[in-house]
Amino acid sequence: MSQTNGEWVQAIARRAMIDSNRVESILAAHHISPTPVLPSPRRLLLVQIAFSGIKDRVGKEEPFSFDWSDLNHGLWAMLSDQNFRGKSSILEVVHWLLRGRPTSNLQDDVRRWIHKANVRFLLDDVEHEVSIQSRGELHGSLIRRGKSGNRIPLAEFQTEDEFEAVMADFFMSALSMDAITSWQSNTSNDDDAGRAVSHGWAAFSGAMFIGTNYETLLGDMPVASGLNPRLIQMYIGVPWVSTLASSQSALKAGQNALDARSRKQAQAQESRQQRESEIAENLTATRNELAALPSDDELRESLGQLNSEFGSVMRQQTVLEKRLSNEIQAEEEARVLSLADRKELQAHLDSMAAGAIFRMLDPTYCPRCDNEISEAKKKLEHSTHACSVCGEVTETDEDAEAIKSDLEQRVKASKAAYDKAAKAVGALNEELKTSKETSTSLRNRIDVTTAKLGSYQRQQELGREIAVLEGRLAEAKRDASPDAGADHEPDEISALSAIVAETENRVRAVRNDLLKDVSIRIVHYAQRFGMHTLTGATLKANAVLSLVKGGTNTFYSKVTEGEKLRLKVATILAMLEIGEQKGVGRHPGLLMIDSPAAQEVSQADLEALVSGLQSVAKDIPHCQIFVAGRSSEAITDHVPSANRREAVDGGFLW
Amino acid sequence: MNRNPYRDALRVLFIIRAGGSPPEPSMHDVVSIFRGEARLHAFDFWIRNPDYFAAELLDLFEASGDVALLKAVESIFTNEEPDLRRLPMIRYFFGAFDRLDDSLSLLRSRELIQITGVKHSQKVKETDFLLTDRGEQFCLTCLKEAPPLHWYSERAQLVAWIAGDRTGSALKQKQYERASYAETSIGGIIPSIATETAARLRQMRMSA
Repeated sequence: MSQTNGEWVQAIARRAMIDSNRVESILAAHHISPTPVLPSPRRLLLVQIAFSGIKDRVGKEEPFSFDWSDLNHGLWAMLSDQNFRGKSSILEVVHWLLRGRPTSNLQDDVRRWIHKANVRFLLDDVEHEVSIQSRGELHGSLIRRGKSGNRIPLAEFQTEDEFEAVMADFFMSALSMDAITSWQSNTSNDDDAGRAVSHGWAAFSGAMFIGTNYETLLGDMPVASGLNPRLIQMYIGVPWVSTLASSQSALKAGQNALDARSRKQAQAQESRQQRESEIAENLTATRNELAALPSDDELRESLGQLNSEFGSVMRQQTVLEKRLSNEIQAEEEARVLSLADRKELQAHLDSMAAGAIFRMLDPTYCPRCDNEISEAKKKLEHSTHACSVCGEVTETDEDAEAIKSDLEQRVKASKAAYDKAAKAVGALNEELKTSKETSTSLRNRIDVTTAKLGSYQRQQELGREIAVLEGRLAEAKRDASPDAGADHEPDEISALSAIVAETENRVRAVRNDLLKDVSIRIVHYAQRFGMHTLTGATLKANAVLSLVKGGTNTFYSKVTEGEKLRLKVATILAMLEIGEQKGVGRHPGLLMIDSPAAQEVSQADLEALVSGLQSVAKDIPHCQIFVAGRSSEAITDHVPSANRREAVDGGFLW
Repeated sequence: MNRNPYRDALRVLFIIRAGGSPPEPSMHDVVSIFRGEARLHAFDFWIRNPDYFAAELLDLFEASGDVALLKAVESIFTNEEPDLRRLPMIRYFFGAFDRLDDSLSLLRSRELIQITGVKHSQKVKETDFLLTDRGEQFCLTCLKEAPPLHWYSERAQLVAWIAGDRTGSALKQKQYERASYAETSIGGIIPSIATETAARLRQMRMSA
């Protein structure tokens, strides 16, 4: 490793505070190689453009053949008095053969018409020739001519893919270019923040062709590719640029991997905490439920007490029922007795009255024989109380009164006994009713308590649930141990950061001066192309070109299409010139400019450009510039007829 | 239960008085004439069994709708007559029957009634009971001097009104049917129908 490289590695080691051997291994692991010195620029010069085939338009086949040879440095023009006369196709065929794959600007029918094509070019004075047969499966070859004109085959290709690969390998190597690795971010997927993409010859070759799309200042890759700033750095040819690009890409990849890992760790942490709190919540709820359940012992004790009370009440009830039955019987007996007494009293009262009335009468006739009763017998009865008929003693009122009094006493007593019994029956019925209510209530409480006893099983279940939850909680907490699966060495990111920083320092040191010089020359060329109001331009490393036009600050993206075309050309020329001066330029010196059929670029703009180019071509001897456009006197004045191909009177260039 | 002959005699006397019809012109010292011994037994049955009488009153009320009949039944139960006034009797082959010879003898010995037999044909003899002037006077004295006995007079008059023109055998037939329906068997004593009659009364009160 050279002294410069050694100094670079030491600087990185100091910055990252790691051993220089470690730096070397990280550089190797990420395929980062130092590029302190650039090889001198190579020059590309077209010598011959030729293609042939058959046009088949509206069923009419028309063979054609185009051959433009003896090309050299300077300004060349493809002109026609009308549009669509084949100017752009010539340019696109060259692009196709140099790039190995046609661009989308090559029209499909033209592509089909061409059966054969070849381009001869000098690369630093060594002649090469690429030729293809494009009818059917594309195939062809790339050869080099030796000093004696002998063909030295460099590569043969049988498919379009092989063709592209051959041309890319050849030019990248020949022009000493390194593939640009850029980070393409992926916004649709969080887990994959992006990936490194390698850009090669397809992107670089664009810097030699200016098509009709002026969106970007340099090349023909879309803005979204993020490639244009890199193209600028590449064409300006600052040393260390490719090292910087690959180290930045490696850093970005490392950081993204780190970010993704820490994001995943954060997610895992969050979901673990959520799980932990869910389990804890569940555990609390289960413990509360268990605490709310009455203990089995308490239940059994309370149940025993209730059963004892219930038994006591039921025994009491049995006694009451027996007593009630007795009292009801007594009541009935008393009722019957009382009724008999009252009936007897009634009969006695009736009899007393009837007796008294009858005694007012003396028998007149004997009821047995119907003979009249004698006066003597009547007198005897009065004196002796002996019956005048049968001689028995007649009952006196005194007896009757005594019996009546006695009967009345009996009625009173039996009535009192009946009332007492009835009252006792009523009281017992009340007592029994209360007792039955008490027993029903006790029975209910016993049932409820017994049902609660069933919760014993639930208690067991809850106990098991709590044990399981506690286990899961402990497990969830254990998961919190830090992630040991870091697949990057801890010093790698800081080492890569140091590599980027040290490389960037070296790039910046040269690049800023170069950009300043290029900017000055952009103004110079643009003015020569007719942009007289342009007084200042600043080209930034990020490919942004800011301008001072008519005393006002503006940007490349804000000016007219005609101005854009001229600024694009001016930028390439400025880079060519400065590269030439400083020995750092990387542009091969070929520039092919198409002019659009569209109205955006006026003929006057084109004429101004051609006029400027004609004088510039003299200042930069190594450049070869082709311009396609509508012919006009202003253009033909600046391009000698030997350097022109023209289609006139509505004709075709081929 | 001591059976007092004077009370039984007075009951029969009031029956003869209440159920009598005007005497024949040939009869002297006679106030009214009660025709038929079976009729006398039938009257006596209703007085001695207020529950059966109440049942008869309810039958008539059902037929006539006369509210006075219903009130009479109510009074019978209010005064506990089925309990206090009932004088059970032995059931004979011909229906409710109790020999009234003692009572009739007592009445005849005091010359309160006369008992006559009238021959309607060779075989059939009807016994009639004549209330004498003396008997009528005795009844008036009784009503004046002995208020407890008013019940017998009033009840006898009510029974006479209820019996109307029905013959003794017709009345006895009715009483016999009701007693048979009550399906008596115990000791040959006609059962009380007080309970079911009281229930009937309550039902009628409710629907009246």
